[in-house]
Amino acid sequence: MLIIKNLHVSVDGKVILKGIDLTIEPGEIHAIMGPNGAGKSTLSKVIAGDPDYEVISGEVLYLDQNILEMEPEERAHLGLFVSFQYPVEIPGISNLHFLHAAYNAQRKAKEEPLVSESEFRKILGEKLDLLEMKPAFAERNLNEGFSGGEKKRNEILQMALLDPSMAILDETDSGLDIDAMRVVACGVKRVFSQDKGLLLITHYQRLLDYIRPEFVHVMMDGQIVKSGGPELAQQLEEKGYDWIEEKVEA
Amino acid sequence: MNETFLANLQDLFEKNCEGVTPLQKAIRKQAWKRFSDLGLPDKTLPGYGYFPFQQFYRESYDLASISQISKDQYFSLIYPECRNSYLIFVNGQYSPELSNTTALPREVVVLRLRDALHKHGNFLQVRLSRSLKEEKDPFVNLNIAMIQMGLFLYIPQKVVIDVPIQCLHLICNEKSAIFNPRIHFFVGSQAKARFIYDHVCLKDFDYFSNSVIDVALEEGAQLEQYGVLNPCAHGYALTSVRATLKRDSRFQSLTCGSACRSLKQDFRIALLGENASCDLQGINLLSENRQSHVNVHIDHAAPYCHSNQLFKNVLNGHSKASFEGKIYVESKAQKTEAYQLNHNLLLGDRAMSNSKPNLEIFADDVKASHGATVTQLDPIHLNYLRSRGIDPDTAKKLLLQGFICEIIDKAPCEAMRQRMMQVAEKHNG
Repeated sequence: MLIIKNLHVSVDGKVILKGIDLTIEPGEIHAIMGPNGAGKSTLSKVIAGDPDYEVISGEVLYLDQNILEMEPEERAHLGLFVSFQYPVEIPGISNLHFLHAAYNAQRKAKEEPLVSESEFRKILGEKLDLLEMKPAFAERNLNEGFSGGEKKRNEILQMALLDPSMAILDETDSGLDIDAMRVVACGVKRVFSQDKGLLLITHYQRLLDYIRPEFVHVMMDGQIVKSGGPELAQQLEEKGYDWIEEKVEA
Repeated sequence: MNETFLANLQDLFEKNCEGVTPLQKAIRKQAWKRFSDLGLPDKTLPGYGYFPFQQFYRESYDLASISQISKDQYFSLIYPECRNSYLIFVNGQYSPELSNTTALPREVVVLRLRDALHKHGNFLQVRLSRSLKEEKDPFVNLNIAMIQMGLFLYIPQKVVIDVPIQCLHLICNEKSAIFNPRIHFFVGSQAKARFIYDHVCLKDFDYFSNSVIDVALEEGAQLEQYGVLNPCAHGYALTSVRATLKRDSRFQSLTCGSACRSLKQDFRIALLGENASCDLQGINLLSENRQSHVNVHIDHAAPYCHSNQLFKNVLNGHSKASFEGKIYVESKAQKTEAYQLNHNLLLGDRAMSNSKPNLEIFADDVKASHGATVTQLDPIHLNYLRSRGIDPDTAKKLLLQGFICEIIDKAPCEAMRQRMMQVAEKHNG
């Protein structure tokens, strides 16, 4: 359902992604691991449609459509969801107001009737329960003053509400303590189903203990240098990224 | 040009002195002398640096007439919370006949200023004399010289008014006119009140509104004031607030203005007693060629006082805004906390904003900060909202709302918040 072909991307004139190839089919969970600066977040931002990133060459097809030609909101309407590593803080907009706007924007795109604020509060209440979040969370300003963990939970809350067919979670585990990680992982698994795709981008193995991917890819210097099964993540945890680097150089 | 403007004012001043009591006349003459000695303001005067004098001094005005107003014209503008606690001003003149104060505790005194001059002469005369001696803004002195029908509001000690008091300024003159509304608040120790004011334009024409609110807060007194300044597009509106705060008193002001040819808000707050605090916040929503100028001077004259300022502007079209603020901390005002912020959102390609935050500190144990920003909508914020499926127009609207709501969500009632939102929507398309 998501096909990335020979993707080259630069930012501020510097080439970051140097030929990424990746295919994710419905029902598959993939993980991309790699050291800092490998280009993992760049990949998620390009897929989300961040205008700061320039695609030099390559294709990203989602449900057979070239999404690189699409606006960020069109990609979201198609069922793509990218959770950000550093979600922005927006003062003055309540989480409820934002989530309601996003929820209705998706419904409008699907030509479904919009929901009122009171109806939406009920829907939101269920998702808050799912992620063990307090109702007061909805009334706070969007990510303003949220702890790192709260911001990540808020991203997963958005995912649970928007119910995408493909989710890319960028470093969702960073900033989460063990309990929060369990709750978030549980929430992600509940949203995931056999007709959906999931790509986890992570630096560490620990999230993968909760959500086990079938495919693990290692990204280094803008390329996927190794792909394998879940055992690859385990090997990385034990031996570190240097081990892969040595193997690639060899 | 300036001479003609001044001669016009002199004519009006003399006309306005006809038929008044000797006491009123003496005060007005003293004020006129002070105004004449100071001369017409120019760009060198604090707060007037960006005021469009060239255009302004070409105007000529008459004294405001007393227009007949029916209840239908204003009753829908009264907030539900204030149905029995509203004061009406028509063309700058307080009208007790149209006002309703039945919800106020009976100890509260609401009088025409001229009546109060006789009944509460001691307090008022001292207050006016001090103002004439110390006030350096010529137009604030002009306000006293040209006063027509002012208001005096006295809240005796320990009286807490539960309902907000709405002061509705209606502008509906037939020709170009000058208004000089003046309100004196005297809030006794431990007394508490909330005051809401609205400027509503029933007929749009050229005018010069030169209003002054004078606030005296005794020990532990609290006054909150909230304003929707929605003046006529063709007017020049100056609103000056002068407040003195004694020990443990608190003054809070929040305004939402839509501006006109030039809306100038001028605050001069003196924190005279320990632990006094003031909080001034405002947002101005400007479109077309409208202008807004805010000038704030906070004098920390006692220890342990607290002041906070947050002023915002949203500028569309080729509107202009300026902010000039000074926090002055005297050497005896140790343990002061003083903060000042000015944020400007430039949406129009030709809009312009000038900001001059200023601290002058003579005490050595003080927490103070100031800051100013002039920005456009943040593309990173826009992209975040769009990545969640929100279209660009809605995303911009949301971000703008976020910028505005930081101020207007603090309105004391939903009806007032709605009115502020209407002002915002009108000026942001």
